[in-house]
Amino acid sequence: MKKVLLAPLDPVHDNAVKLLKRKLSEAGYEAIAMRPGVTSEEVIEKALEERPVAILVSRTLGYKVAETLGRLVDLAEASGLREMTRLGVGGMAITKETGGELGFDACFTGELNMTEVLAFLEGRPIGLQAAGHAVAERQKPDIVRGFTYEFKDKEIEALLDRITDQVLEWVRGKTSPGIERAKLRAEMLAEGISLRSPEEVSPAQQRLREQYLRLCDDTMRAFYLADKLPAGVRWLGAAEIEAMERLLESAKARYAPLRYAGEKPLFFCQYGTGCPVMDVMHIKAAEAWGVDGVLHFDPSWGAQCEGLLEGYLSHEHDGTVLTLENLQFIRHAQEAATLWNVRGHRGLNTPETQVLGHAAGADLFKIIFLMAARQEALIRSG
Amino acid sequence: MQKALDRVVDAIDIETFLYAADEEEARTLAEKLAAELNLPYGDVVFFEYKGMGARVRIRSYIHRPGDHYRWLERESLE
Repeated sequence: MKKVLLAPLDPVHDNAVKLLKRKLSEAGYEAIAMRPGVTSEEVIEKALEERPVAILVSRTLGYKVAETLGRLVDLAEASGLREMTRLGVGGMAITKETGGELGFDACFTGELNMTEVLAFLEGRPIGLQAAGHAVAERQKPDIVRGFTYEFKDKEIEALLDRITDQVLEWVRGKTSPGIERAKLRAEMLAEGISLRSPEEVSPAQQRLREQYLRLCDDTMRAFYLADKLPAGVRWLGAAEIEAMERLLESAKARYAPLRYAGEKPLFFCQYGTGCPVMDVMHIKAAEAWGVDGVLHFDPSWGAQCEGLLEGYLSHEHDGTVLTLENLQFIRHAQEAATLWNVRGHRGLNTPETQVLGHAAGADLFKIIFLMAARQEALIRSG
Repeated sequence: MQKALDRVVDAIDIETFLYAADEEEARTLAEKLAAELNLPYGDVVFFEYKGMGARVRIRSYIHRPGDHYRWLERESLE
């Protein structure tokens, strides 16, 4: 457990230190609080003994602020402590300028802001909101940074390479209606058309549509050719979509990070209520609580039908309908820093799901490749 | 002013301890409770019978996915 040393460099005031000790303990730190009136020498001595990641000092009274705090910084430098321990200061007598001039690594002013304190302890940047409250700047995590495909155990690496080669050899030249639809969908996206787009299309574009429909089952053909929705599915109205836009505009998320130490693990929240509007509400709640990413989950009939629908659609059962419009709506509502994983649920539309997810701006995909490949093979073999 | 119930995004959970002679009676009471409170779609999502009764959590969906959500209506947004 990481240690933080809390020192009230003040004759009597230590309320902030007590509060901070409790909050840091809740956040998973070992917070060591010293008594009020402690000297700078005693703080440094204690720090050399405990080796904390940071010393946080508070000062309420205004006299001799520079002398008292300056001496602490000088002693920390002289003892070599600053190589491993960072210094933060806060309290009624402290201004941003005072802390910076005296050589502290961070300066906390105003009310206790744990987001700011934890960002400092975790080494994350601290930004400023218009209102003057400091908050951690949120960055999209780079999930693969620091990882390679290299295995420490070379024998296992060789075996896995062999398995992978065998799988790739086995799938060579094989295809399925799902794979062919994915290719057609990619072509349609490149051409800027869809199956329901009302504008005139060229004969070549019309052929793409017809080829796609030939690879669909009756549920999908009924949707495209007879405007018949699958059971439990309804169109989202323009008024609902506009209302959701207004709601999002009026409510900006303020994050409370879930993670209190280091960059890992990342926290993801899975959604897939059936309705993209409800999904967005769940995503916004999860973002406000600090998740790093969200997973799109579609376990419903969509995985068992040949073909995917189009348009803004709501579904009254689990599994949000996979359409480009639904995915774009969900992506648009997310904060820029949120990682978005579109899960290609194993089933008949796994390849096209990846095409749509990519087109809608997904960061990650989850595919159960072997299961999907096996399923495709079973389909082919009847 | 809109009703608070209209602002419930999806579900209400009621968690309580029901005095009951046995597990079967506790389950029956849990299922009846949401109906007595005029809450729709009561699902028992947690149930543990011990000693004098059962701790239960009953989830009642005010807005199910696919509904027309009252919290999204103009009055809520103004």
